[in-house]
Amino acid sequence: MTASQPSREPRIAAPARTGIVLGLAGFAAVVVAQVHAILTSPAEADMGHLQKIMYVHVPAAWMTFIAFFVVLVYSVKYLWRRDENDDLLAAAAAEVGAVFNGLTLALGMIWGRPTWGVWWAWDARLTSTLVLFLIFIGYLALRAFVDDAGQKARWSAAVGAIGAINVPIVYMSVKWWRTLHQEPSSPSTLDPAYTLGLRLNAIAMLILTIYFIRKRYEIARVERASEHAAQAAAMGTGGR
Amino acid sequence: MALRDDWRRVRAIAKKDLVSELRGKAGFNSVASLGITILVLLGLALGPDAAVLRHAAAGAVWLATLFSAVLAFNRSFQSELEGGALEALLLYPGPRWTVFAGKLLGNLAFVTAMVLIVVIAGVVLFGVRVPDAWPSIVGVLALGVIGVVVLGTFYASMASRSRAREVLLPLLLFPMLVPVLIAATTATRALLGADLMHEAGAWIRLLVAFDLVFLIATFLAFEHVIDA
Amino acid sequence: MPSNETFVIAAYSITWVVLLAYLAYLMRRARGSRAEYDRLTAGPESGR
Repeated sequence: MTASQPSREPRIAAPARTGIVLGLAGFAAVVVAQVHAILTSPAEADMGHLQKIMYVHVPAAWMTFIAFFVVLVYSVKYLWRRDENDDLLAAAAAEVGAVFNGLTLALGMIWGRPTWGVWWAWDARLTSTLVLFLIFIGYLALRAFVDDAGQKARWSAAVGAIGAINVPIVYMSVKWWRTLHQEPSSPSTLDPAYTLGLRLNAIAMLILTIYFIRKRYEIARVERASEHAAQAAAMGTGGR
Repeated sequence: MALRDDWRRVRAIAKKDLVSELRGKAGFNSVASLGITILVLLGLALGPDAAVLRHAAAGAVWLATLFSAVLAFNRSFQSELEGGALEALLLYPGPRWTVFAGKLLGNLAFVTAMVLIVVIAGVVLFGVRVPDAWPSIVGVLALGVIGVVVLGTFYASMASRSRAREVLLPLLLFPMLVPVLIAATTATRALLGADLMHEAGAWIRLLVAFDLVFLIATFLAFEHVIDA
Repeated sequence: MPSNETFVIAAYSITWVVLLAYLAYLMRRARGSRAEYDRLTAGPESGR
C-alpha cells in the first residue's frame, strides 16, 4: 500500500457560488427591511420610537428557536441514522443559534432598560431565553470537551434532543412562576401597524440565518475532511 | 425469564454501588457535610433576618441539594472509570438500560438519604415552621429528587468521561433542572405557608410530567451514550 | 437616563456588530479550514 494513492475522501468542492449570493441577499434583505421598518413605523404614544427595537429583537428570538429546532431534528436524525454530516449540521445550527440567542438577550435588555427602568426584570420570556442560552452553551461546551468524534456526535445528539424537549417545559414553568407576581409587560403582541415590518425583518433574518448555518456547516465538513485526511496520512505512513 | 434477569442485573449494579458507598463511608459523609456547609453559607449570606431566612428556606435547601448532588453523580461513575470497569460492565450480556437503571437506583438511594439530612438541617437553620401539610412537602421533595437524579445520572454518564467533568456536569445539568427548581421551591413555599391559592397542585403535576418525560427520554437516549 | 432614541440606536448598532462580526469569523475560519484541507490532500498525492 503506497502513500501516494489518491485521498480516499472525496474532495470537497470549492464553495458553491450560491453561498455567496445567499449571504449577500441576506444582508441586503436585512438592510432593506430595517430601513423600511424604521421609516414607516409611527412613533408610539408613550414609548416613542422604542418599539422599533422589536424589529431586531423579535426576529432574533425567532431565529434562535428555528436554530434550536434544527438542532433537535438533526440530533434525532443522527441518533437514528448515524450519518456524521447530520451531527455537523446540528452543531452548526447550535453555534448560529447561540449567537442569535445572545443577541436576543442583549436586545431584550436594551429594550427593557428604558421600559422597565432596570436591565433585568426576570420576566417570563427573557428568563426562559436565558435558560435556553445556557442549554446551548452546555451543548457547545460538551463538544469542546470531548475529543473522540464518534462519542462527540452521539453525546451531542442525545444532549441536543433532550435539551430541546425541555425548552417548552422551561418556558411554561418560568411563565407560571411569573404569573404569581407582578408581570412586567413583555414585548408581546404588536399593534397590527407593525406586523408587516416585523414579517419583512423576520424573513430577511431567516435568509441570513440559513446562510450562516450553511456556511458554518461547510466549514465543519471541510475540517472533518481534514481530520480524516490527516488520519489516513498517518495510517499510510505507519503501514509502510 | 429475560425480564427477571434484567431486574437482577439492575439490582446487582445498584447494590454494588451502594455497598461500595457504605464501605467507603467517607463518600456519603462528605457529600452530606457539604450540603450542610452550603446551607450554613446561604444562611450567613442571606441572613440574619429570621423572616427573610424563613422565606428563603425552600430555595436554600434545593440549592444545597443541587450543588451536593453533582458531586454524588460524578462519583457514581468514578469507580467505573478507574479500573475500566465500565467496559467490563458492558461486555456482560444484557440490555444497556439495566446499567442505567442500576446507576439510577443507586443514585436515588444516595441522594434521598442526603436530602433527608439537608432538609432537617434546613428546617433547623432557617427556622421553618413545619405545617400540617408536611406529607405533601415530602411528596414534592420526592418528585424533585427523582427529576434531579434521572437527569443527573444521565448527564454524569457522559460528563464523567469527558475532559472537564467538574464544570461540565453542572453546566449541562443545572439549566435542565430549572423547571424542577422552580416547581419544587414554589410548591414547597406555598405548602409551608397556607397554600391559599392551591398552587401546589399545579406544580406537583408539572413535576410528575417532567419526571415521566425525562425518565422515558433518558432511557431511550442512554444506549446511544453508553457505548464505551 | 439617555433618550429612547439612544437605546434604539444602540440596539441596531449591536445587531449589526454581532452579524458582521460573526460573518467575519465565518469567513476567516472558512479560509483557514480550506487552506488546511488543501495542504493535507496535496501532500500525500504529490508522492513521497
